[in-house]
Amino acid sequence: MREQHIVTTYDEDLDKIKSDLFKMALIVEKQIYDSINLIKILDIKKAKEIIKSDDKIDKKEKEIRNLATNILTKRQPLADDLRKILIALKISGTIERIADHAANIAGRMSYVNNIPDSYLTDSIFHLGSLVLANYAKAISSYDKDSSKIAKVVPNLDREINSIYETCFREHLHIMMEDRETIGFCTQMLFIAKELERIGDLSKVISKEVLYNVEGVLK
Amino acid sequence: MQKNKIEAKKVSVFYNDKKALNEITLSIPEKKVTSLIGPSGCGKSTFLRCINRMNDTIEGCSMTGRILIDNKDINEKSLDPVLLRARVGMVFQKPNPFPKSIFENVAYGPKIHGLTQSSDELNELVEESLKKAGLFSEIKDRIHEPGTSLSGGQQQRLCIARAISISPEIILMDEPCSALDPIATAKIEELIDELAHNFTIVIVTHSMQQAARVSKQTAFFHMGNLIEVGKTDSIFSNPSEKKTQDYITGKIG
Repeated sequence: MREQHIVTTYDEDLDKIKSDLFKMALIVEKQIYDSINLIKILDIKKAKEIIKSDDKIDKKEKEIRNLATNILTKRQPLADDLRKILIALKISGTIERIADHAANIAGRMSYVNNIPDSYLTDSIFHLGSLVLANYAKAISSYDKDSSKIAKVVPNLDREINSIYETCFREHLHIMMEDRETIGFCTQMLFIAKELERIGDLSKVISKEVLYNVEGVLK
Repeated sequence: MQKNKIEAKKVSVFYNDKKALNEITLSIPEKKVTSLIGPSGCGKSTFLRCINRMNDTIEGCSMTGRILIDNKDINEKSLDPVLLRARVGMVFQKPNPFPKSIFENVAYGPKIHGLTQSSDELNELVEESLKKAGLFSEIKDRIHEPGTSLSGGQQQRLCIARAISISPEIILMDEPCSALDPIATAKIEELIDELAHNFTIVIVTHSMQQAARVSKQTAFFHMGNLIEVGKTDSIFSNPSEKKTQDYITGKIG
């Protein structure tokens, strides 16, 4: 059984900040998923939806910040309770930035009218799938307070960085071989960079989880 | 290197047959603030009172183990407890000024210990002590009024002035702010910061935040045992012991 505070509303406050943050994380997971799918299936309407839903995430982040401020004021938490609030603040800010990157991907894809015939690679989509999987791991480590899952995230991020480099070189070759693809590939390279940043930020989340579980900043 | 002013070695205290403290071994660094925290009845105040042998005055109370101040055992028969208490001042939970004037409250200690040669010297010492306690500017025009006419926070600072007037080396504080409002508490905490430059301070407090604010070292007591001692920053951010964690975060466990 989980340990409880003597003051039960304290537990309710901590549960609420965690569940609100996890819900926010799930919305952003869907945004990343949708924005990556735009690479395969052009859909201007969907792209605009993703961009618009970014405002909702900004609002959620503010709500979590207010909740955290309220808990700090009311409870003056210490030790693991304090870390829970500190990481909720950091992770909510990080997820808000991840949502910005997802919106940026949607923004890039809304400029694309058609995919050139000679563009046959799906390496960026593959990169996106890995980034999405790693983000899901990071938020799962938060949900389960699992240092074991959190420790996997930086390893996968190294793989993501390596694939990002490969994508970059590959797209240079595609552009050199067919000048018609330059416009499209440029957008794709920007998107690859956005994905690579989401990878880095997922690592930030996993580090915060480790700090919460182990009590030491690494 | 950090010098330890007080060393407790396997200190146990009994109230008749009941063991109140169980083999406490604890070093208290010189000119630093050490907080003792723990639930009511855990033995922290009992331990505090061992340091100036206040427990000697309680019938049925006995102690085993050793307490050293500057490497000298304070329980040696040759040592006069009155002289020990001149070196180890104490401030209590409830301000307890003597029913005398503000001046007399502070002058009393120096007078009985013969610390001054003339009335000018005594006046100077009283003023100096009141200044160190951060009280002089507030009461300088009514120094001959009763100490009990002051507010609770001022009375507590008067008691601190009284304690430091005889130049002790150690000041023990037993929940010095528990009867005070937040402003008076802030003034006492500011004073503790100042005093720590010249005195070794041991404070018992029920406020975790106060312990975190004022002390460099914190010791957690539970049911007569010393559970954990360490740097205050570590104790309140990442304690090693589960019992400490449960206590400072208010968990049932």
